[in-house]
Amino acid sequence: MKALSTIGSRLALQAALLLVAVGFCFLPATAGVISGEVKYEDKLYDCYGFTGVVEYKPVRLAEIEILDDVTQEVLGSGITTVTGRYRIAIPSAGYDTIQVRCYARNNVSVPNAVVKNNTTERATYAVVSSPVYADTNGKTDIDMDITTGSAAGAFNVFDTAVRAMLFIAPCLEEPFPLLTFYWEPGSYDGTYYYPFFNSIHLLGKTSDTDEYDDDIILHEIGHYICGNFSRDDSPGGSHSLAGLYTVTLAWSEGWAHFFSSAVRDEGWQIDTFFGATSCWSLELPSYEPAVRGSNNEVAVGAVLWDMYDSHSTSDDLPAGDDEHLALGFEEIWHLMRRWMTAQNPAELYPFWSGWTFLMNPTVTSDYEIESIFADRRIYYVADLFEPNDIMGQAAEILTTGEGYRGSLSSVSDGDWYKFGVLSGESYQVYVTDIRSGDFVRTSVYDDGGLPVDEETNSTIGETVSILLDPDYDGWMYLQLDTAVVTDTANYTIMVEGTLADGPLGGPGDDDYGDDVFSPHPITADGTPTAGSIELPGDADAFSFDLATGWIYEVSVAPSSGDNFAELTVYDDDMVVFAAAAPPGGTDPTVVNFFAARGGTYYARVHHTDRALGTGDYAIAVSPQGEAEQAVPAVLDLVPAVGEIVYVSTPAAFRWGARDSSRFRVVFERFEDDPLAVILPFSFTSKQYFVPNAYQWGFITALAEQAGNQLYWSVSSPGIDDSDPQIFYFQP
Amino acid sequence: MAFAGMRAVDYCLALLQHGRAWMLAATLGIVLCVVPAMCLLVRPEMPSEELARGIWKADQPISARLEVLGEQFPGSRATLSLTATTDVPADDVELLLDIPKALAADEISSWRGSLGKGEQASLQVDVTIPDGAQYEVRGAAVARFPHAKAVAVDEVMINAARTPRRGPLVRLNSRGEPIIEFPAKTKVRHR
Repeated sequence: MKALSTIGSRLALQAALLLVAVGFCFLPATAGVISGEVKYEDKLYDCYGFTGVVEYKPVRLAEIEILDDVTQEVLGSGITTVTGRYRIAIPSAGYDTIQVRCYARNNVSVPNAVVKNNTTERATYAVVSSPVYADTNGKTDIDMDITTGSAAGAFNVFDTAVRAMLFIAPCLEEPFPLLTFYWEPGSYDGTYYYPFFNSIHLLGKTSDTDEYDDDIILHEIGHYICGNFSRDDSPGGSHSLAGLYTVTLAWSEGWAHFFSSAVRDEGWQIDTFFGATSCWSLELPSYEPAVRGSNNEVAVGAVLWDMYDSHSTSDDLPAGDDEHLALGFEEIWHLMRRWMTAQNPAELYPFWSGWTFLMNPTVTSDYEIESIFADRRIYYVADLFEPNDIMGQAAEILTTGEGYRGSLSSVSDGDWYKFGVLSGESYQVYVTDIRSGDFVRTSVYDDGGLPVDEETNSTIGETVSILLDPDYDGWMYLQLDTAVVTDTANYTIMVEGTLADGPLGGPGDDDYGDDVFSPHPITADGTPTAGSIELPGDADAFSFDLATGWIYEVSVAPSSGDNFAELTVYDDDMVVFAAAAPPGGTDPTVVNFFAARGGTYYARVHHTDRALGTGDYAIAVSPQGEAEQAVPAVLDLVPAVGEIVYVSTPAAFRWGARDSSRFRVVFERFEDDPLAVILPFSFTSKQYFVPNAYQWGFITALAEQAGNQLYWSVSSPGIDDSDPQIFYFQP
Repeated sequence: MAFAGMRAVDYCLALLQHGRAWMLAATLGIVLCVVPAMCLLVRPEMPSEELARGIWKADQPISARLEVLGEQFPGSRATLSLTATTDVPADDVELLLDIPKALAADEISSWRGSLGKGEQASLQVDVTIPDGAQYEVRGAAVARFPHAKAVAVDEVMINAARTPRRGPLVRLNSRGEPIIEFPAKTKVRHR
């Protein structure tokens, strides 16, 4: 493998492909020529199963040989072209009876694959022509058709390998190691990839035979590609689409689903059975809400697919892709080949890291990727409670019975929480919905910092429950980290019991609450409010009510000396939408923004030196005037399922959503015809968090696009979902 | 293990006692040279679990199991039992049995309803086995979702153990490679 790489492998591979493509065979110049075409019958299918249509397809890049009918001596051999044709010179021997044999095999060039019947006999599938009496000095055409009644299934398996290898060959510099398929009618061996021998085994039993299931074959080839050219740490074994498994298995399977779809440029995955057909989609994806977190293979596949696909990709939506990111295959493969190979273990998180560190994403694409991951409830970004990495930064849990979603977003992240307890009361701590990581360890400490309890989920997805009976009034601390140092995880933490009013004088005591769930209210009229970062790692959160359509400035100035204040602004869904660092010297930290909708907004102040820094400051929120473009037009039209609604866009518009239904609103802009080329808007994508009430969303960036035609649609309404919703604005 | 070691020592001593030191040397040579060489052939960098690792096709979020309950002989009554379980809540689940007519099934061979996560549904049909011939019965569980359809299947053979259906016999080509060869439809044009 490496030898070819060191001698200019890419050129060599291309040259080999070229030779194969023209089907050369070097034999004596005086020879005659046998040429022809080899085709096989492919059974077409869709989501409803086999359509009943069979279509002849070329047998591409397969070994072919000319035989003496009597002696079975090979008179000449070669490879069919990518159109299924062959042209082979044979030695002159006058008139002779010959046969043409074609193998479901090519181990001299791409695809380097062979289809055999089983692991005992290991017989290669082949077809042979009828004996032909031919002039070996002349030219004879011998065409062969392989029907479904003979070996077409085996040749479809072979051609699916050709399809996959031709798809990925331009991305590879090394040759493919030999891939052996085993399939025969009646086989109960199962459908799986066996890494040790680079073999793919396909079911042949009558109720589920896979020789025509291209989606399934490509999936298994995806494992072969990953195992040989990237890294695969899956423990293997059986697994279900809707199940939660270790992140390495989910990564391996998710990649394989994605590879199958990418080769076909089609988001659906189909598996035919006798009398019925399974059909599911990476685009939606199917099986929501079970397919969330990087422990689920469909979620992983959906993330990769959404990064890959474009508007022209076939999927379930009327207007095509529902994300604006369309990386295509090469960028994803670049990460697989150049980055994932060195990761241990291989799973979705290092892929994310690779994207962050290796691909130098733009702000736009970075945000799009973050949104795609968040759509599958995979959060590799800091949660709202950060920084809470040490006990002194513990975020206070203020409400009993309410879930707080947290993220151990990197391998070094640890999350601390605290809640006020009363002597004689019982408290139940739940860490639930553990996903995108296998195990979360929850350690409990009393207010003296002494360990009280420690629990880790014993199985993937299991809820951790800890009962506490404190004998003191004060803080109880919770530390969450991953039980595996290389792991990350998302979780929801909840405390039940009578929470004591804080602050209780614990280690985190300060003038204002640390997070946006416990803000200090201030007025947005320019009046400064004094605050203090009393302890290293402290943060102060503020809330203020803003009017729709006004521009505001939030500023934080130091009481004395150089400015130290970092400022983060959250919208009324507590989603970060602006942040600023001190500009240097004594100048204040300032964020200016347009309040597209009225409501309660939040600001959070940190010290730039979170390990050691303390200091006093003053914060002020000042109205800067009403923006001219700030009067949104109401979009009253609500499309039915699959319906596309057309409006002339106003300067801005808004849309409504209720928390009790799950749907994704898709905004697409077209110049004239909804089926014509889509012109993407400038980036305005935004996460939207709807906790419990009727909400309005606003699209304001359309101000620049006023007068354009707009179509919008609802992709999947009406699916009950008890989780808080995240919506994406995708104009 | 200890017993085997003692047997080996006894064997060596016996060879020496019978003046066959050369046989002892040959035996040791084989052990020292051949065994390590064989170990190298088994890709020593692969951990043992790697040898057993198979990466399987994903199961659908529904599973099905078909069984034959009761004796199987000509004239006997047997029960075909198809059981399905779903991994996710499914409002529309259908169980289907594909029974050869010769088995004279008593009842309608389908069931339709809803299943919660982890719940089980079963469909049982009594059949009469007419003779000693083989009959293949196939069962399917189909769960329909708003944007997906999940299928699981199982099959049983009545009166026989499972045997793969055979195509053409395996033969060797001129290079001695085993091949399984089918006739192709052939069209010839002489030029």
